[in-house]
Amino acid sequence: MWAFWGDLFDSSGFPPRWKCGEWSPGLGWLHIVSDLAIGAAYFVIPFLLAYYATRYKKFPFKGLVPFFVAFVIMCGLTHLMDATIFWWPAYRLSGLLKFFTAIISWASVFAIIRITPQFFGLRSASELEREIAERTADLAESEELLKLAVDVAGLGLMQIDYHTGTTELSSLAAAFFDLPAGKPVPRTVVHDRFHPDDRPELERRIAQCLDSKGDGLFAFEHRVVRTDGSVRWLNVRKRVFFDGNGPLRGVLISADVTERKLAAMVVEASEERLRLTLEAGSMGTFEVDLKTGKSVWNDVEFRLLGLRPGEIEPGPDAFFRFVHPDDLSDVQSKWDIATRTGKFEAEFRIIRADGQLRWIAGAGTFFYGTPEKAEVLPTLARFLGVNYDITERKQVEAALIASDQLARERAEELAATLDAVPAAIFISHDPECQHMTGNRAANALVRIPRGTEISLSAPEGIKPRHFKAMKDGRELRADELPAQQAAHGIPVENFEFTLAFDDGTDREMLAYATTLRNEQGRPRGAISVLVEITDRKVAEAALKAREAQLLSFVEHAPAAIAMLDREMNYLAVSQRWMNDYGREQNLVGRNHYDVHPDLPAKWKEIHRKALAGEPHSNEEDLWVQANGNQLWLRRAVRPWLDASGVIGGIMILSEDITLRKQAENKIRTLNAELEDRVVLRTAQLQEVNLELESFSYSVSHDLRAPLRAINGFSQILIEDYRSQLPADAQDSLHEICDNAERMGRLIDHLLAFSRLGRQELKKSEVSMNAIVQECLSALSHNQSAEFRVAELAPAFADAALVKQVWQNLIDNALKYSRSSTPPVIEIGSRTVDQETVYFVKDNGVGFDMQYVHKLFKVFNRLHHQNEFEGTGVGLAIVQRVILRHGGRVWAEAKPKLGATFYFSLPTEEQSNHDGNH
Amino acid sequence: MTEIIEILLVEDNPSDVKLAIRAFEKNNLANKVQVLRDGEEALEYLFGTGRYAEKTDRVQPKVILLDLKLPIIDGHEVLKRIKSDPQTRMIPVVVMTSSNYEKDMVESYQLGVNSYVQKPVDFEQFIEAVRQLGLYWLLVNKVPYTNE
Repeated sequence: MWAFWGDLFDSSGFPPRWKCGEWSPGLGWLHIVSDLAIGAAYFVIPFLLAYYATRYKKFPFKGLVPFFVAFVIMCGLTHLMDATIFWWPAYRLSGLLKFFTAIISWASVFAIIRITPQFFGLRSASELEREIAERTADLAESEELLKLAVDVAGLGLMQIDYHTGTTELSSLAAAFFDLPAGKPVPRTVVHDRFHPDDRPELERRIAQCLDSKGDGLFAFEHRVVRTDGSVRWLNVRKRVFFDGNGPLRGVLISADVTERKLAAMVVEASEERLRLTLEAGSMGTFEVDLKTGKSVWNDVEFRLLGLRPGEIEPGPDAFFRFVHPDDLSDVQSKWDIATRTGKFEAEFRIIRADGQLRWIAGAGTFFYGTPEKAEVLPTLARFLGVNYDITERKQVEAALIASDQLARERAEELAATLDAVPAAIFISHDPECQHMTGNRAANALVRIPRGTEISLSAPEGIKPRHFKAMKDGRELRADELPAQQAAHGIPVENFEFTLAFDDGTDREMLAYATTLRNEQGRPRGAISVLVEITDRKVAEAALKAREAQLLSFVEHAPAAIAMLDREMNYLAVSQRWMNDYGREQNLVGRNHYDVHPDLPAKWKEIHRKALAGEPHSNEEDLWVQANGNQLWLRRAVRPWLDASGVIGGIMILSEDITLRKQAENKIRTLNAELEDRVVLRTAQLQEVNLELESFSYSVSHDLRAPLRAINGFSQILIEDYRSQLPADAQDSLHEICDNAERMGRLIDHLLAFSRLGRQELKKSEVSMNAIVQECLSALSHNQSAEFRVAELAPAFADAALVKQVWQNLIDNALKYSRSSTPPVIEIGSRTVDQETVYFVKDNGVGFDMQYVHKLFKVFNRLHHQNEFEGTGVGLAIVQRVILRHGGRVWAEAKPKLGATFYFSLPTEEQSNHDGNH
Repeated sequence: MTEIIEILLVEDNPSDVKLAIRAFEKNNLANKVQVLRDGEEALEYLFGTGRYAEKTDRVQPKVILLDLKLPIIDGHEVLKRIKSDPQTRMIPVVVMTSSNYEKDMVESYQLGVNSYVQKPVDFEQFIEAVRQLGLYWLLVNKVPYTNE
């Protein structure tokens, strides 16, 4: 038997049920699915039973449950097995399973039999009536119990009748809401008590729970404001009951959670206090018991005030004594507010016991005491606070304020600096430049007082209208203006434009503008600077005008002038240039080197240097032209400056001096010929001089000998034959002798005179006094003339020749005054204008001034030989000597009234000066 | 010719010779005068050469009156020769000439002339000049004795 069951899972010996009989798939599957469904249902039942059995502790049939569970599971298993057998014919297992199921089933049957009367107990109708009455009484009782329970639990109960729109509040609920208890009040009155901050959410939730589609449940924590203004926190739960028409009534239970809330706040505050203490480490704490009025300070609190711990009795009033008088009223009023609001916060100064001034920050909060009775609301019980020293923080703040001050001062300085800058500076404060401000110069430039908008991009009605920005003859659009460009991120440099004012004045401006950017790097405005360049523009215009004048001058200049640009193209040429070098072409615009490809290389070098700023000029330069012509040119090449002051090109002034050059060459040739001729003539002259020399020599030597013979032999005749010769003959012989002697003298004088012309002057400083004295002392003693000799100026002359002059003049004076009684001869000198004039004056016979021109000529005499002897050479010698010295000779006389002979000599200085020429 | 020649007159102009001799005669010096007509003769006489080579009785004069403008050899050359030869160097030479050229005078003194006299045109002056010359050079002036 057990061996048979040993192979419990052995399916051998049985075919699967599909093979057992004529199963149609429909019938087979009906069995299978139904068995599986029944099995699954049986499995679910025990779980549900077990769930409720464990959940509901008072479940009355606990003994039945295990049997029932086992019974159901087993039933389920047999059905599962029946389904399995279609493929897996484990009939042994199936049999065993059914066997156990049977046992369990019967066990269950017996268990059920035992409790069936209890389970199926039947009641009569009267029994039911009584039961209802009992139940109603129970209900009223339970409602009463509920009310009591709710009251005892400190909860408020509110019953809402939605048909009448009223609410009835229990006494506690009435206390919470500050409304009358035990009688219905309109719902709206209740709603009025809601805290305004909570009301919207509350009303939303109320509406939600009144929706009959919802569950009608509601839970919330909210505040109510009582008529005395105090605020209470309530935790509310509500249930709404509906009938077919909508909400019927609601039950609302509320609890006062104010204390819990405050406790949470106190915890929060104490956490904050702890944090501060940890952070500062030097926190003074104080605590005021509001019931007893007693205060407690920690040690730090005492030290904050400069006291030893416990030195004084702590308390708010004790503390206030240390508060700085200026801050006291503020601190006290804040304290008063704190006693109502529960929060205290202040920063104030104290004067410590040691006199130090410190900054203190104080903070505190009130704590609520636990209510002693259920009806009594929690009240303020004590105040906890901290004080800490914030002097350093204040100093830092002060420093910050000071640095703010500094920054403000810098800004003011910058503004003042900007105002001092003569250039107009505009600051655009937005990317569209709708608002701009300027420095003083800017406001002055655009003639707008400070504080008035100066931006041309400002909205119509605000923007200035009395000037326009112009460029190239048209008005600039707002977005073309430099500030506006820069405000859009485009920097502007060297932007020239004109500010044209209504009154007709134009101001030429040069603008620079840079972008101002915000922290993200996006343009937020711009700074633009306008520099007035009107003067420069005017100067440029003037320069241009001058350039034009210059061109015109060049064209009409009577010289050959060409003005060229930097590339050596003709800008202007004078008519003369055209005539001289133009080759009958129009030159302007053409290139100098194209027109004259045969220019010497060194000229091009000169042009290049002139373009670099080095002017050049030469007196003459040869240009051998390609056609063999030789042009001599006198040229000046110099750079000219354009309006901006840079070298714009060169100007060539070229003078054709070929003709002059030819003339010069001719003159040079002539001069050379003349030189040759002079040499020749000089040689001839020297020859003549030599001849004259030998002639003179011969004259002096050879002509004298015969004279001597004539004289000598005549004399011999007279001596030897005096007695035999008649008187006439003797006179004749005397005449012969006299004439011979006279001729000898003539020859001597003539030779002396001719020698003067050739003799070299040996000039030296000569004492005229000494020479005159020499001459006078050589005179014969038998003459009776009276000499009046003044002090004579010295002369620079040839001593020997000057002595001859004096000699001759003195002899002359003596000769012509010898008939005067007595002869008076005056000698003197005077120096006038680098010339010394000497004179010899006599009181002799004088002469007629009409013949004065003959006076100094050789052999010319104004007196007869028998009256005054002489050769007529003496004065001629005087004149020749003086003329050779560079002086003058003249005479003044009147017949019978004497004569004065003057001669002048240049002073040494003048003489040297002349000698240098 | 018995008188010892004391004055040697070198002069080519016969008129001047005559006038000079007349002047010497007036002073009784005429017999001591030897007249020579040109420079060559003067040199031959003085150095005993040429025409005077045979004249052994010849003596050196006490003074030589020398004209500058002479035929053949001029006065300056004669003077130079006289003054450059030891035999004749000691003999006083007086240049008597018509020239009043300073050049002539300077050259003469450079060659060692003892005196320079310009012949005056005036005869009386001429006589006086010769007289003084004779007196001075023959009677007043002393010369060292020359050893022949």
